[in-house]
Amino acid sequence: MISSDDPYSISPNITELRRQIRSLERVVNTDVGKKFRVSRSKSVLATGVQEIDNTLPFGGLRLGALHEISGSIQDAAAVGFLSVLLARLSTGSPGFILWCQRIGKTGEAVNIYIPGLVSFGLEPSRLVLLGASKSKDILWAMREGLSCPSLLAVVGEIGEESVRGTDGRRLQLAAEKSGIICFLLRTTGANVEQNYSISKSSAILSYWRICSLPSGPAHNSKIIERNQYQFNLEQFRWLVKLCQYRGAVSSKWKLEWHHETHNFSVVSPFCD
Amino acid sequence: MRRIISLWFPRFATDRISQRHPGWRSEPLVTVRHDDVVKKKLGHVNRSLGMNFIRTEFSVRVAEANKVAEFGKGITSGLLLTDARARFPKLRVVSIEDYINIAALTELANWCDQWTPRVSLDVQKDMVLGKINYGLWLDITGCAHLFGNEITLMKDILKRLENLGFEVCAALADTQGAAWAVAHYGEKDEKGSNCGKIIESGEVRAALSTLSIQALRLSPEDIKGLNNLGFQEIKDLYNIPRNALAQRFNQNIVCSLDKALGLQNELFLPHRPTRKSRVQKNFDNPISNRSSIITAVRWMLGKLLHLLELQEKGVRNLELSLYRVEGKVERIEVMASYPVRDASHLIKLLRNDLDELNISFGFDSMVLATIWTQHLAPIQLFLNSEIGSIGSADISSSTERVAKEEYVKKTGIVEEKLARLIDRLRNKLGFKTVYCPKIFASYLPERTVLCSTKFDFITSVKFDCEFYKRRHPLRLLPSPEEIKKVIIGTDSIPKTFYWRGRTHYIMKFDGPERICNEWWRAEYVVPSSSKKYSFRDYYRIENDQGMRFWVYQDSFQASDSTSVWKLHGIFG
Repeated sequence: MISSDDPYSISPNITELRRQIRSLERVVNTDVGKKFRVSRSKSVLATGVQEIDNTLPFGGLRLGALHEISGSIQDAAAVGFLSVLLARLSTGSPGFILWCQRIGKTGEAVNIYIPGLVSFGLEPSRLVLLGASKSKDILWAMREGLSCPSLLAVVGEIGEESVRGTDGRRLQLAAEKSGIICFLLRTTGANVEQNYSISKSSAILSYWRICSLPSGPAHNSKIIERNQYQFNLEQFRWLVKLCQYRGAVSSKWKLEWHHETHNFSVVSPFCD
Repeated sequence: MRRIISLWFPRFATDRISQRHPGWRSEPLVTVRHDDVVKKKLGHVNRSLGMNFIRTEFSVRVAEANKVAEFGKGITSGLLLTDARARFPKLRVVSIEDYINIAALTELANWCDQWTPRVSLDVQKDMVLGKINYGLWLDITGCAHLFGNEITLMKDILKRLENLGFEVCAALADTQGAAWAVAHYGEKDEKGSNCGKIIESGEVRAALSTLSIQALRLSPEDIKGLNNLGFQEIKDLYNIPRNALAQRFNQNIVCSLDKALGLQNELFLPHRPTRKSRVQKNFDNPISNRSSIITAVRWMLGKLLHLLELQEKGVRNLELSLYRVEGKVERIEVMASYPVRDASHLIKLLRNDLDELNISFGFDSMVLATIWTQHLAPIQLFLNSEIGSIGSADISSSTERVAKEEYVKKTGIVEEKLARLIDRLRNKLGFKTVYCPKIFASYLPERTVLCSTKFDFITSVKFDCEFYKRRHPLRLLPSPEEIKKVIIGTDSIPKTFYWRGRTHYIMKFDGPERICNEWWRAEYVVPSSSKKYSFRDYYRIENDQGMRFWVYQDSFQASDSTSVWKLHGIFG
């Protein structure tokens, strides 16, 4: 499964060792494939950005594990990043996505908007939406969803607090057993960008933090003529921070979204 | 021929009070109708004390008296409360609203459908005494053999109701009228109970002959008129020509007589809709162990599903009724999004509620009934594997693939496992919590997405229409929120604004994008009139940190100085 352009695959021995480690890590139960009839031909979900995929072990986010994607409540970049991942996951393989929404009080709630997700390439007919107000119910629904082989992915909107303790462990076990990828969409308050910290839990494999960046200069000359302040909607820019991933170096990327081609490109090497 | 039991609770209200206060059973206790007390404005009603509160008792009559009061002190219903107090000064008086009694009777009727699905309330005002008679009708046609025979069924009913502390008069006959007449006016033993008289089929005429004509459920005027002419017993009316009776009095007498004799049909209105298929399990001793309850439910479910398999039906809506020892019913209802005949799935759905059930003293009967069934053809079981989702990637053998395609064709279920997941989620969290989004052709963003509870389980729908090429926000506020402290720049676009605890400085914008309300909507106002019709000018704006918002200027407040700006969505 390791791509040939993996910079770390130096010698065939190391490749072989990696394969062994991966089989130890990935397959807990050898009967997984038999019991759940959905055979996962691939075990990772590539983000589609070469620079990110090269950093991640085996070239992508591991399926059958928990990934936390967090962002500010006033910023929808995390939702966008997640819908790009889900769109990549659902192209080519059949299956549904269970999205557990949190119904908040009016004045605090910000719901996801399906046409927006669709414009990032997600099919609306693949979505099964669930609305619950208690986090207990959301976690239960996610656990139920992780045991259903018709699903490709389970998304749960958790609030400010991350999943911890037995809840996370249960989710992790369910995801591992079925091989369904599980995303935790964590929305933090508006002003925690500076002192954002991850609450480490062994159940969650990777922590991502996504925030919006000022969009790049418009490439389309027509728009520039109209107004110099005109903001080029096609070139969203996001800052994607990989805070923690077992076997990967924490790093950040500045990505630009191309709406015509439906993919990302890294804007420039990020330097502090 | 129908077989109908009439149950009459002569002391329903006092018995019900004594259930709560067992100590009051041995003391004289009477009830009065709350309406009488309130209407006549007699004194202060102290509901917390519930007794001895009536100070001036003029013209308030006793509604019901318990056994001790009636046989020990001679206080009967209809007696003035002053007289009753004179006979026994320490008399305990409780005032009760009629509707509370009727609610309690409904609860009892619910509990009684463990013997038959057809139970009807029988609440009739006694015109002579001014009290209300509480009773029930049970249509036990075809049910008696399940409990042995009619005698054992009657014994069971009487025993269980007496255990609850009710005094019951019961009778079983071919018609509602006859059963009612015998229950209310039949011979009674010294204890005041008639021990459930059973009138064999076809013997109604003989059984009714010696009863007083009051047993025909007639108005006081009719009874008085008949008595004046010398008719005392029902048999006196047998030989009178019907048209003569109808001419002399009115049609009611003829109707009542014919209904009692079974010559005319009487409508039986069950208080709950009857269920088509049901399976019942009775226990000699109440069971209060959760695991044995689940075992019993499993057994019933197996039987019910076997019944349904013969009819080629599948369950959409199922109801489990658990009858408590103390005369109450617990009902658990589960729904499936497609017809099911899979016991393990239904058990999973039922267990959500069964695990949270308060058992207390236990249950002595359980009924599992279908509310809604749909056609579901019998399915050939697969020999080598369970049925998975058809969309799954590898189907190893071609025979299996064919079998699966056939299965889909037969049942119409493509994603069975997903449907099951949805059922599980819905039965725990509520029916409307799980839905699939449907894109709806509307210009207004809040109307674009419909939450459809119907899933069509289709994976591949092409969506390359013009609509999706427009840019939409990723998050939308449930209702647009007003942004405050707006400072308008030179190009009439906000430069800074304040929203949810934070000031935003706008660096770039794009717009306007005018979104109009559809003309066929009610809110739409004709453009030619003085009022402007509703439209919104949306701008996409970006602040200094790169956050992108969707704001609009509300057209209704479109005077230049004090325009209201609202934030509706957030882009990624």
